Amino acid sequence: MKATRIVVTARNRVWLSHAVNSVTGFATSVIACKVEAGVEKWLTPSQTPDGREGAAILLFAMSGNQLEAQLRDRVGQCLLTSPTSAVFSGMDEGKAVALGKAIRYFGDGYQISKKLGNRRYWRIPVMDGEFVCEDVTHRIDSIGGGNFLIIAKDIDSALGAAESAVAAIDKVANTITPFPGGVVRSGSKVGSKYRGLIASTNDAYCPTLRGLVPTNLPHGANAVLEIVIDGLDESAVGDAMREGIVAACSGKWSEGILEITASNFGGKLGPYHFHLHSLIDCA
Amino acid sequence: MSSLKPLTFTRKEDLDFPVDMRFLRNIVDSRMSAKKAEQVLMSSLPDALRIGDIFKVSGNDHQNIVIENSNAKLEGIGTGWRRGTIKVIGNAGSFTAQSLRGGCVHVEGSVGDFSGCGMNGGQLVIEADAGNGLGASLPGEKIGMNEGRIIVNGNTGTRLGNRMRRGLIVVYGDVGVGACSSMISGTVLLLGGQANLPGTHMRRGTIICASEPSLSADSFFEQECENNTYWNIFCSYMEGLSERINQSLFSCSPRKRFVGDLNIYGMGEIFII
Repeated sequence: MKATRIVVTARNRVWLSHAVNSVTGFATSVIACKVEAGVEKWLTPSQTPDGREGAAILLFAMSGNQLEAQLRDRVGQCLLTSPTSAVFSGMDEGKAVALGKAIRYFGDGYQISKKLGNRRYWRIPVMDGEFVCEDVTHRIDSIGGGNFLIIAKDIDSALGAAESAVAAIDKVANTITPFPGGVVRSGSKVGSKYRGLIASTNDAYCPTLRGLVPTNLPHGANAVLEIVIDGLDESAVGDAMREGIVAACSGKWSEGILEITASNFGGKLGPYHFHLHSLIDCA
Repeated sequence: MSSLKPLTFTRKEDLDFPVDMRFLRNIVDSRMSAKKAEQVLMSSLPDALRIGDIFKVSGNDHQNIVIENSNAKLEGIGTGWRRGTIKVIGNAGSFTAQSLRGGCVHVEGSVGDFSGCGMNGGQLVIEADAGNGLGASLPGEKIGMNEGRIIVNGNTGTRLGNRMRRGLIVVYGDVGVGACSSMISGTVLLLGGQANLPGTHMRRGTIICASEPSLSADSFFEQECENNTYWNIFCSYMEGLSERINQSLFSCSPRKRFVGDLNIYGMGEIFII
């Protein structure tokens, strides 16, 4: 996969949240959303180029062109429109990807280019003042789809463990968990009995299908939740998976956790394989 | 391996004629030894003078040049310079750092007219004053400074940054008339006294004034200065650039913003801090 990082800032946390929620909205899976996006970390004013509160956002797509198109559309429709927002590059290495360069024309000739050092900024006049946007960001090769499944005896235990896992993963740099709350309940298998559908429910892990299809669920399992992780490199995804698994199994919900496993799609999803026992042994 | 010592040109005596210092680049590019450099014939001078007749040359570090006992007769120091540093002890003449592309030219004294013209990168630091046309376009040229930074700790003459297209100029002292006239883009900080009619006929670009300048009401329109995100970015950049910039200057938003020159294009801006 290809990934980029942008830094979004706004006047206060409220409007920053609005901007971030908008730009990372409908970005859970590349299958239908064409991009996976999420907040990598929240930034203090001292960590942002314009001295305001900010957020580092990672976006992942299957190709460079797709990433560039999604970035342009999301910055143009979600950040340009969000009051007081500004957006900057969060990545200095890799191939350049247009950021402000692609949407400066909204200024209709009244946009201002300012180059400070090696960085170019666009100041696009909008109705609340100016939308400041860095000219380009960069993209690098990355890894998507790192995952593990939390198999629990009930939904409370599964949710509690998943929340602990996501909280632990949030502290790992260079990673995001793009699904709602970082958690997926509709884990999928490749293919379907219906033509044209490339993914369908992971029936082997559906408690209500036990008895109807061959199951992978242990006795007493009634809820399974999946954590999906995208990362900028192999070590980041591995670290996130390890932190997540350890957190899921060590909190107050650990008694209800029956098993931790992972979907590997027969090893066909990509070149990177994360073996859970190896990850935990490294801890 | 012998240690590197700055390649040093020490002027021997007073000059009553200008010396074209563009030979420096040839000596550096060819990595000529100090002894050989002294034998180079200076074609720009009468009487078949050689570099050794004017300078005592010593040292071997071609990326670290020192010109000692310099004065305003030495013209074109740092012309076309691409990397490394040139330190000028004393004054420098006209066309200092003309077409500078990289590296740094540091003048401990003053520089003459048209210094920094056509700069395309690098940094020119002037500890004292600068003459007319600093960073401006040369007569007949369409654009002045195109990239890089000029920092002047003293005063400058007229036509500072005329037709400047890109880059940054900081002047801590006073500026002469016609500063930033016909400016195309770029950023100029005027941190000294009141500037007289800066930005006349400017198309784009940013001028930041510590003192409110005299402006033609027909040429500039005063605006409220609200929600200026770019200002924060610029201040952050300046903090990393120069220790001498008084942090208090940038601790608050600019007091006023003027846009203009309305007679030309009107996309230039003047901040009053």
